[in-house]
Amino acid sequence: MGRTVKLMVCCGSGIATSTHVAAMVREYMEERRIPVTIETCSVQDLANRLTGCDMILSTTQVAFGTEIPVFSGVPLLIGVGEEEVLEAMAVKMKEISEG
Amino acid sequence: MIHIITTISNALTSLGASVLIPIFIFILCMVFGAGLKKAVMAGLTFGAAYIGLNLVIGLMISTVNPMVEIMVEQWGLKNDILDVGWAVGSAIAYSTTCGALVIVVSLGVNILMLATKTTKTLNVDIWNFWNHAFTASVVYIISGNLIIGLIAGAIHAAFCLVMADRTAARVQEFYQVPGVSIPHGWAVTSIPIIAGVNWVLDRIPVVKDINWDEKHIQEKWGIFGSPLILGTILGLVLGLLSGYWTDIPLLLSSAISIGTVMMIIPKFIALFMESLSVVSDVARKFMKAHFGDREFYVGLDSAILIGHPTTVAAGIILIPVTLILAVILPVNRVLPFGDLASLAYFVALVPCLSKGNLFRSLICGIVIMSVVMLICTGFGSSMTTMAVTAGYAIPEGAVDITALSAGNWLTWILSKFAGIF
Repeated sequence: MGRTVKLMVCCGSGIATSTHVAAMVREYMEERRIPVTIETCSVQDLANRLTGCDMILSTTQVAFGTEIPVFSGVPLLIGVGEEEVLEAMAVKMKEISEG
Repeated sequence: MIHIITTISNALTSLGASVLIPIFIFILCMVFGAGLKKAVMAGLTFGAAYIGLNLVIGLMISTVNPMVEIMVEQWGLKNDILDVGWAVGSAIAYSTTCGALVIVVSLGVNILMLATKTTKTLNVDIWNFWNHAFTASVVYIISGNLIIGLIAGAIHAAFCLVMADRTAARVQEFYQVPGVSIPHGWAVTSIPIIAGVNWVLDRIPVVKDINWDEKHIQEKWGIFGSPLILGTILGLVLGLLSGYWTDIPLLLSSAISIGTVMMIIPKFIALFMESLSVVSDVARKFMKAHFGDREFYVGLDSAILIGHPTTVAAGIILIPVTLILAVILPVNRVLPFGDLASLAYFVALVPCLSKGNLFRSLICGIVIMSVVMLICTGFGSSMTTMAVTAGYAIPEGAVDITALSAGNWLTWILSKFAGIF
């Protein structure tokens, strides 16, 4: 097993939708035994919290440029295209974890 | 018969919110078919969140209360109603019996309106039913009648769905979120205000063409987006205003305590969210199974709109603006505090309704925050009563509490109606 991937999940407040999608990602990755630690924050706080962060999952727009890969969490909220996002994240995480 | 019901009801109420609501959540999860393990976890998590939040509220009140008292006395300020923020406000709204029942009522309203094709929105944003729960609880407190309270909650829920339908097309296009609408209980009430401000601005020469750019605000001032930093600075300002400069250790420790409160509250509120997301998940599956064959919009939290650059910038600039407003606004008694970190929510829909213009966001923001503070002043001690009823430890004689995000005109009108009964 590779290193643990750090995922930052953000939304408007860092409380509501981010907690929700974080739980979905955690469950999905646990089933696939992909080691990941997940933290949540608000999009306004995001830029201050990126130290050591490998990936971002956001349910709202990320308004600044960053090298870190950003995924949209909206499909997870509306339940359309949910699998595709989770699968794409799993692939990326494996790559980071083992790379 | 009535005697038996009263006895059972009293017995349940005496259990307190930390036991009663978890049982309610557990039953709700079981009814929707979430499975035993998830249902137990969801219930217990709510209880844990409630107890955890109670600890933080204690720290917040005990730190801020003496400051407010001194400020009111020394400076002749009248800001003696403390804004505890939407997170705490929502938890309080859900912790009353009336508020908890609103989850069922709001879902019922949605099912009924989908079935009668009076809405296209399927609201899966259970967490924000707290706005309806707050309306119901306020009306219940004023009228003393549970049924009237629940009806008020239902009216609020129906209003949200109607407004969500009407703004759906513009929201979807502007924010590029296909299939989504925003039935958020506070956000929908901002729509007429924004429309009014835009109507006025469009009729003033020169002003109507002002268009500000927000590119560099987040880069320069983004540090204020951190609740810890914002809280600590706010603590320093409040401390200085309260004359704590004579006691530097007290000043600094108060500042750090307030920063801590701002940082920790979201952690406990996230537990409430974790608990309710189980309900939200099963409710979504249930609704989809029954109404999924038609074209509909998925109703989501306005949180998904907050990331728009204009909104992020406006959320930061509005922090000092709101504090100044709080002092100069006649009649206002609210001391903005908890919701200062979430001011972006109050202008979340402005960019889409006024083409992403920072100037418009700020003007709308000033009008909206003034309206909100006056309405919260109008609610007076309602939320304090609610919190005490729900068993939160608010010391007697301490400041009254409110939440800016609860300050919407719909709730206010409904509460005025309730006064008739």
